[in-house]
Amino acid sequence: MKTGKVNVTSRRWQVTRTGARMALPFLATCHLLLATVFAADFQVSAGLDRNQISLNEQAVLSLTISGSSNDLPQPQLPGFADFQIYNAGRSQNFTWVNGKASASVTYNYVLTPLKEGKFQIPPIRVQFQGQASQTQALELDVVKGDASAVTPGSAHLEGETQPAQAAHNPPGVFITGTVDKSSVYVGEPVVFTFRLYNRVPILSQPAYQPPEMTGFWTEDLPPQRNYTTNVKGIPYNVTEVHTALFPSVPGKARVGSASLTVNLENFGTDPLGSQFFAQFFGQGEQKTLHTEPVSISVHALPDPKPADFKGAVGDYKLSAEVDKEKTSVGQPITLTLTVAGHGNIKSLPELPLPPLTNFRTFDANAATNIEKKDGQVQGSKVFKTVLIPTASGELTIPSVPFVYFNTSERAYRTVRSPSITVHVVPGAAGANTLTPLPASGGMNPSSGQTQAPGIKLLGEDIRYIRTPNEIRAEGEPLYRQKWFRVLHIFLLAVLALGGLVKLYFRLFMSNTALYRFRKAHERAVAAIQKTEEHLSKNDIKGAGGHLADTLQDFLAAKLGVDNRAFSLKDIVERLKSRGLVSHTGEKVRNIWETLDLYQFAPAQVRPEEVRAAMETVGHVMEEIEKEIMWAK
Amino acid sequence: MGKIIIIGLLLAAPVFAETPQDFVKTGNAAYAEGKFSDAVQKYQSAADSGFKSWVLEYNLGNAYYRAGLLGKSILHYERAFHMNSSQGDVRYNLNLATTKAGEPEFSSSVLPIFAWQLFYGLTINALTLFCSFFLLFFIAIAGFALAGRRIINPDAVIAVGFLFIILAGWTGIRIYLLEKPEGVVVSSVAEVRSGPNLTYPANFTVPEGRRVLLLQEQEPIQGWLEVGVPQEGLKGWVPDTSIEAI
Repeated sequence: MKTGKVNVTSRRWQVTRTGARMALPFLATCHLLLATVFAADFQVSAGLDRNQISLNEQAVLSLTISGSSNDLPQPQLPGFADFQIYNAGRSQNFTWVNGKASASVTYNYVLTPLKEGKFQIPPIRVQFQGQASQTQALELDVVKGDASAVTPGSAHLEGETQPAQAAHNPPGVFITGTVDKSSVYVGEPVVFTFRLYNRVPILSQPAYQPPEMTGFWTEDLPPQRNYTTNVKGIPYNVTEVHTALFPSVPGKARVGSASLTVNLENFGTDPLGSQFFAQFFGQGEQKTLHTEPVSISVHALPDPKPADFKGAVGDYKLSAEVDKEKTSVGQPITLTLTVAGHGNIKSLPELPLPPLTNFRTFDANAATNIEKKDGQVQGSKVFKTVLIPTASGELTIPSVPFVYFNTSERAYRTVRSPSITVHVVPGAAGANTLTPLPASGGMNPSSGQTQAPGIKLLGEDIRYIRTPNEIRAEGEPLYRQKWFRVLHIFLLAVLALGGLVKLYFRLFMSNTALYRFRKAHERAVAAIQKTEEHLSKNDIKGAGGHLADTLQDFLAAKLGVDNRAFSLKDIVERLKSRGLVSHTGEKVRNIWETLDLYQFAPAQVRPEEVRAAMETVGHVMEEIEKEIMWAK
Repeated sequence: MGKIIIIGLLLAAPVFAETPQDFVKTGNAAYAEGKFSDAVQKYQSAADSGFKSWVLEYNLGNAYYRAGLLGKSILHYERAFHMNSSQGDVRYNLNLATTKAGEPEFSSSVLPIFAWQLFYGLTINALTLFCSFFLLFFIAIAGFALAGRRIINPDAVIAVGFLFIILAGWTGIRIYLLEKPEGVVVSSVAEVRSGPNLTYPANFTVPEGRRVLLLQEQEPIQGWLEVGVPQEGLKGWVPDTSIEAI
């Protein structure tokens, strides 16, 4: 019975401590699972790894919750009065086939019987969003255990601190803290074992203060073991707890001192002393025990490290599979890569795929399954990737390498997944149009469907400075520069001038009557000068005719009529009708008749007279030029 | 001997004087190291020497932004933008800084952004050169027409003329906007008073980084500028230390 008391109390703090460590990731996962409200069907099933165990053995109860979504509830176990229960981790699995997701989470519990007999594991009921599901009841037969199966003294006790007075006055209780290795590589597991030895009853729940384990990843290794052993010939009840330590940095690592405060039943003291009465009234003797700190030499992983090495340490295998080997363009398949073995599963690095030319890839999720067996942390990390073929044919998913440091061989090893060939047929019309995937990336907790890894805006900042090799100085803008302005003023002037010239031609050059009118005086003046040519040859008749023609041309242009198609009378009347004063008409008449005379009686005319006539013609034309206006 | 050395050093000094480009490079190095105040100092030295470059103004804007001087950063981004409006980084940083100042450069809807980017997609020099090209084209057409030769279809001339009018209008508006006298509030806040000294009451305040119109209705009074905020229909006087002209 004394042993039983110790067991019960120590089991309680064991459960509390283990529960606390497992609760955080467990609750975080549950929070993720429950983050999105999504009603989904789910089923619950349970099973035992065996139906009969002896009193000093354990059975593993596996509780699986599966459903169409990854939003699955968390189970609440009923009370088990006849067993100690340890949470031994959980594993989860997602599949995505033809756009439908299914998920399952398996929770493992280690059951340690407290007594022999035939026991029933009652149905475990899980309720979630108004739905309920429950397991079948399970039978577990606990037969009388062979206590001698646990060999006394078989515990690994190297380095333990034992009380020096054990031979003369053996202590009622003492504790030890040991490690199985004192020199390891970074990431190589070390098992820390805490043992409580007692030969007197412990009255209340011991208060355990775990050692400081700075520089280690830690994993509890349930279940605790209980056995009896002889220490220097004295039998002790032993409670043993293991913790796996994974050193994270090289150097001298230290596992600190663990302490345990216990209340002992001790009737060996003076019956009249205060301790005696204290024990009598239920307080017992309180003791605080400490383990010695332990040093561990942690070596850096040897160089040179392979290029693809990302820090995995342990002993692993890599497998790969696809959910279907035949598909069509645009239809997704799920590639599952599983790294399984011994080591710190939680810290296994990501497993990137090599570039795939004929697939679009979407990371689905990575699930970690951890098992703790035989004092070792083992399990697997499962990486799921959704691949959407973009071409038809025999498409190959190449081999994926995984490099790790093998702790038993003390060397880097590379394992490779097998390459997988997928037969992809052309999709139906429109099959290439992929289902639009949300842009937030990762697994959508509400639907379980994978999503394209979209851009996630983390913040907004200014863009970086420009650092060209050479920076050119920039002057004023072109429009402000003087030469540019002058050039454009000039160009505009040229354009305007061109326009004006065009206008001029359109207005004046196209109207021949007007042109004649405007050019008449200029041409007549020039023509008069040619009279001298006739005079120089003493050609009076020719000179008179030339002057007469000149005058007639001038008058025809000014009056807008054809040359010589009109008479003197006609001319005079036209001049009158155009508003010229009467004496101008008279002058025209006189000079017209004079010139007629010069043509028909040239012998009586002297050159001086012709020259005088030239002047008169000039004056007359000048007067007409001034007085007559253009009329259509 | 000592005098000779000093004279020698003085003579040698101009040989080793830093050029504006050197200032920009050392400023870039300081910026890369996260020494933004040093970067500001170096860039400013280059700018103060009269060196003009949109890269310098852009980098100076960045250095001021990193140094926490939002108003100064907007001022220099604006200058860089005036020099080269087609640079995406300049536009982006200007918009980011002006948004931070509460007066985003871009509108939030898509079409105005597109229109804005189209409007500023060409630098002012590119626009003026386009206009010059069109002008030369028309002179050539006119010359040939005067010579009695038709080298292009009249419909095409009309179409090109229409384009030219649009381009000329576009260029004209851009020049108008460039020439618009604007300034940026470079102090943490500018108190705008009803008159050009502290005895006049402050009517409103303008936060750092906001752009204001520099009014030229009256002659500037020593140490004070008359500014307007057209959006709000306000105007008043601010100390010239609070505003820097773009």
